Amino acid sequence: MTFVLISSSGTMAMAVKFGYEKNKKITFILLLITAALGATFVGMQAFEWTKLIVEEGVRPWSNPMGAAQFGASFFMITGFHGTHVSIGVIFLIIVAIKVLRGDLDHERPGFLTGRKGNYEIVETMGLYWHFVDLVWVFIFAFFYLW
Amino acid sequence: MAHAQGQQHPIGIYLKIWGLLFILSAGSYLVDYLQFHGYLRWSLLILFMLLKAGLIVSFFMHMIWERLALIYAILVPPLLLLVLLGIGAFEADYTFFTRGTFFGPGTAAQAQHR
Repeated sequence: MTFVLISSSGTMAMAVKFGYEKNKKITFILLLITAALGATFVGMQAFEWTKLIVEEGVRPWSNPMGAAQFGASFFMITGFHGTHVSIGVIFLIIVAIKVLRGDLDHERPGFLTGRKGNYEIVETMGLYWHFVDLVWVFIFAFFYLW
Repeated sequence: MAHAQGQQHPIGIYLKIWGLLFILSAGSYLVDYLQFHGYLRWSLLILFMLLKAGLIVSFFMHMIWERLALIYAILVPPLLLLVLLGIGAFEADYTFFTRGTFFGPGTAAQAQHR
């Protein structure tokens, strides 16, 4: 899971670079790869949750392996993180379509704004995505390896 | 982000950072695999974690190319929060023991409450 999310951050960083070069096709493909890796991550998380809940009997209020608080904090923290990844995947697809359609070249305004669109939205998307990855670095160290 | 053109860096930087992140993640897994325990485990995990976080923030999020004032504006407040948290955790012990001394079983405060 860690490698999947790190790879998605790598493709995202390259998407931002090609976005600034106004290379629509490669930016589009890289954004879609990033979205696919993000979706893969959420899918793996779904399997992991199922295993924890069904096979190992962990609940938000109890944990047969040790401290009861583990269930509450694990499900809340990874749940919120997974939610952000899912929302990120949706937005990556939206940004990818905007790039491919040429919305940014034609400076069409984005959501809820009259300001001209430009390739900085790819960078903003990238900042969001890298931050989600950054949070995973901490979750991974403290929950999975500690 | 200072100019309209945005930031442009050669693709090699991103690929190198990607590789480094892979190596550091593999290092974290290795700590688990080799069954290191105690302070060695915790310090290695925190070291790899901070290095990875640093690489992502500085290169993928382009912070290393920003002006110094912005870097400080972003990094210093969370650091201060961490210091406060540390102080809180340190003092928590003290408060806990004080409570034990004054409100624990067999103390005057306990007797009064009965």
